Amino acid sequence: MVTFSFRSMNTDILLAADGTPSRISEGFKETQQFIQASEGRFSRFSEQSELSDLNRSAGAPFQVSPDLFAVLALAQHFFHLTRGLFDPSILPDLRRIGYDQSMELIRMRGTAPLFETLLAGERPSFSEMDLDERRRLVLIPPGMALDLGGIAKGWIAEQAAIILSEYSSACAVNAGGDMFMIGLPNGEGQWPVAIEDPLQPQNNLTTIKVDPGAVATSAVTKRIWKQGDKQQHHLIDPRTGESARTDWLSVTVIASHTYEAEVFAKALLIGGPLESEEIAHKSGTQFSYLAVDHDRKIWGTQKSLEYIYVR
Amino acid sequence: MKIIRTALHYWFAIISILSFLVGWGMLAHSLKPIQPAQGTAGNTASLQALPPIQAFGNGLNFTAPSSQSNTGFPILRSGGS
Repeated sequence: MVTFSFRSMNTDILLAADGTPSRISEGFKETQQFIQASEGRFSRFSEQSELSDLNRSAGAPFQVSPDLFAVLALAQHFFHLTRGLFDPSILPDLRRIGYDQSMELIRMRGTAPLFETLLAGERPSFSEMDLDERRRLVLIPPGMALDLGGIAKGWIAEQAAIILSEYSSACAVNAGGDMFMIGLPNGEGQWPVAIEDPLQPQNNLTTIKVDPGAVATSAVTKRIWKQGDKQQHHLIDPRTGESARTDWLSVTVIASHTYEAEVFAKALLIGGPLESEEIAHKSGTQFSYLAVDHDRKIWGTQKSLEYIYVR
Repeated sequence: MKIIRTALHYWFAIISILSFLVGWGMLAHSLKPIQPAQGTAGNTASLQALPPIQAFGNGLNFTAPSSQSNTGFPILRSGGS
């Protein structure tokens, strides 16, 4: 299997494919171009991105591309399905707690400034976003600003894998831990996926074996920074507007679609043990999860156990 | 008076038994950490001792920018970003 890695969307991208070398090289090139073009469309850190244009249009209808419309429709769907635990309109809260530029720049800056004038909760509900499918018009109310980070990354990974599959018999696209796999590698019955130890990222906690489809992980130990004396992380609890206080450090979800896995990983991590079973049952979506707590114990449904495979 | 006392005794006895059963039921159905049966893969007690990713792969490069390599089977990693 041939692999190709590069940086995009502020994360490591890995493409892997089986097939003839010349076709795979062609596929890698087209897939990389798609990922980089999508980053330009969905990034909230670029003033020129389509998402930034949409955020600036708050209060007036704005016509968006088919790709952005597709992701916004998914975001609206999952907002309702997770009863608001997944909420892309937390961008004002993210900015308030110091995540106002890319993580690479934040790490260079050191401690984030305090924004005392902005109080948590002073923002319209994401349910107020209005979508006109026929004309691809989007209306977000004044004061709303969207961050499609995770769900967009999952959607891009899946679309990229579909592009790559045109050039290969089996392939995978891994965007910083959010991955989509098509077909099966030569001689393999499933895809092995190592689950990172959230406390020691250089190590693996376990390895799972999954069928073609999606895996995504959310963790509170990755994008962290200091704001004053307070340690912040990027997973906002929409109910408080603050970095989520969770019993779990990371949640990995195995699902049919990468955006689905990404959304539920985030919602379960924020909801924690008390709400996870309810979210899983009431979502009406088929997925399994593995959660890692502060003692590195792995939690999940009994079905999750079937995926665990340790060499 | 004796009838009331007897009724109260029965009442407390029934409530105690019901509370015990409800508590037992709730604990039995609460979330538990995954504990695979002995002898199966995935015993959480052994997870911390697992070797790092390099031991699984064949020289896969997850971080180097713009690199293309022909490898054996790739080990994908998921850990959030």
